[in-house]
Amino acid sequence: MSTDHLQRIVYASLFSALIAVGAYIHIPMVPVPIVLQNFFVLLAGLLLGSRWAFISVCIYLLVGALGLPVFSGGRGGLGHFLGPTGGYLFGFALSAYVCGWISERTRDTVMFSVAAVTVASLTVYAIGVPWLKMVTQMDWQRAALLGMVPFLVGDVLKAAAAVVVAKALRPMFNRRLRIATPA
Amino acid sequence: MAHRIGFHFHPGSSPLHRWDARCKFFAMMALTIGLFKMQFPGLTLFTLVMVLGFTVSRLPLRPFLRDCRTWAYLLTAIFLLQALFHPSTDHVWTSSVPLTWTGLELATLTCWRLLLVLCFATLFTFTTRPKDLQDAITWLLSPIPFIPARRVALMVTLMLRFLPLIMDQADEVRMAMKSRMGGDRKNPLRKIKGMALPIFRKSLARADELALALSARGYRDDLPLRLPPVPGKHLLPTVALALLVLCSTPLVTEAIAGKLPLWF
Repeated sequence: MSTDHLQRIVYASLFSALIAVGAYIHIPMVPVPIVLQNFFVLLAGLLLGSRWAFISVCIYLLVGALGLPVFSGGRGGLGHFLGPTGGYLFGFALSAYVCGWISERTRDTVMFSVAAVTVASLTVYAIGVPWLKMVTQMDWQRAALLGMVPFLVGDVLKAAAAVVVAKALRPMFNRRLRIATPA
Repeated sequence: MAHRIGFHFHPGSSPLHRWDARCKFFAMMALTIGLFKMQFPGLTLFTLVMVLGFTVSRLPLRPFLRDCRTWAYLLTAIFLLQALFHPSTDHVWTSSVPLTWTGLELATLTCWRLLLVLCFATLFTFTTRPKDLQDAITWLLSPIPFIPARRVALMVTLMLRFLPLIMDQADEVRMAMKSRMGGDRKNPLRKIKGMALPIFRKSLARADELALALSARGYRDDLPLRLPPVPGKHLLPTVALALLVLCSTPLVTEAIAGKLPLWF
């Protein structure tokens, strides 16, 4: 196996670990504290590209499914996929893919990165909120009020931070991975 | 080198260290599923099991308690959220204080369960060699078609290897930020950037070293897995633990007490 390929495997594993650590890092905010989990999901999408970001989130989900407490709030176990927040977990995988897919196909500018993280952040809710509604039998309004609205301020900040951090890290990342960035 | 105990392997010769990783894996899965269904009696029983596990594995208590500080913030936040905002009306003091007995009970249960899951996960990673864990995952995933079991197992092991390292680095960065008054920053965007950038740079350097080490050792993921069959004496504690989990969940205890039919 080539060193490049191994490097991608290790980087994807690193991002899986970062996503897990993100679930433990709380930044106090109003109305709810920020957890850095989906910040690292977006960052994985922006830096690793669609395929490896998706793999990275899948590894994170697998470790959580195996029972290790890596999900938000120190939870773990297969049961969480079928619980009210299961949709957000699946949403993370799709979100990373979407973020990577957009950033791979667009130029490396702040504007396109913002577009990628915005669509990716909304993807999490596109799966998470209907799932929450279905599992808890709530109406749409209540599901959105509980599962989306309190997190929007934090999400905007995380998306902005992902763009800023990705911009700062991309030259170093590309140099290491020898990726030809889109012109 | 990571200073923490959580998610970190420590060599030893205790019975828990010698227990087959595949059996330990299934026991861990049964525990994490079962603990979230248990009430106070079941949780008390498994707290005793956990204490027994800690004693048998000779897990150093002082660094473990130091690790618990990270989880304490998280558990306190969860406890307060659950205890204070429960919709029940059996208030502890007056209706102006939103603290209810039902909320308190629920918050205690949730935090107790979470703490037990964290403790058992620590015990699992503390007593399982990364190589054994990798083989166990490969063995578990090999029957599933279209999944490169060995590669996935390697990634899971690497992820678990990175976890304590990143947590240590996060602690270092947090302390460095604090000493430079970085914690007083009001702008959350600057706070996130200030935390994430140094953690990232350090982790990336570590990842490169690991990739190079794997490449230098000629890592291949097309080699067949040669594992001996699970020994019967290793299987026994797994089955016993799974039965104990099953008997401690309310559905089974209610069925035994005659409240529910056994075929429920």
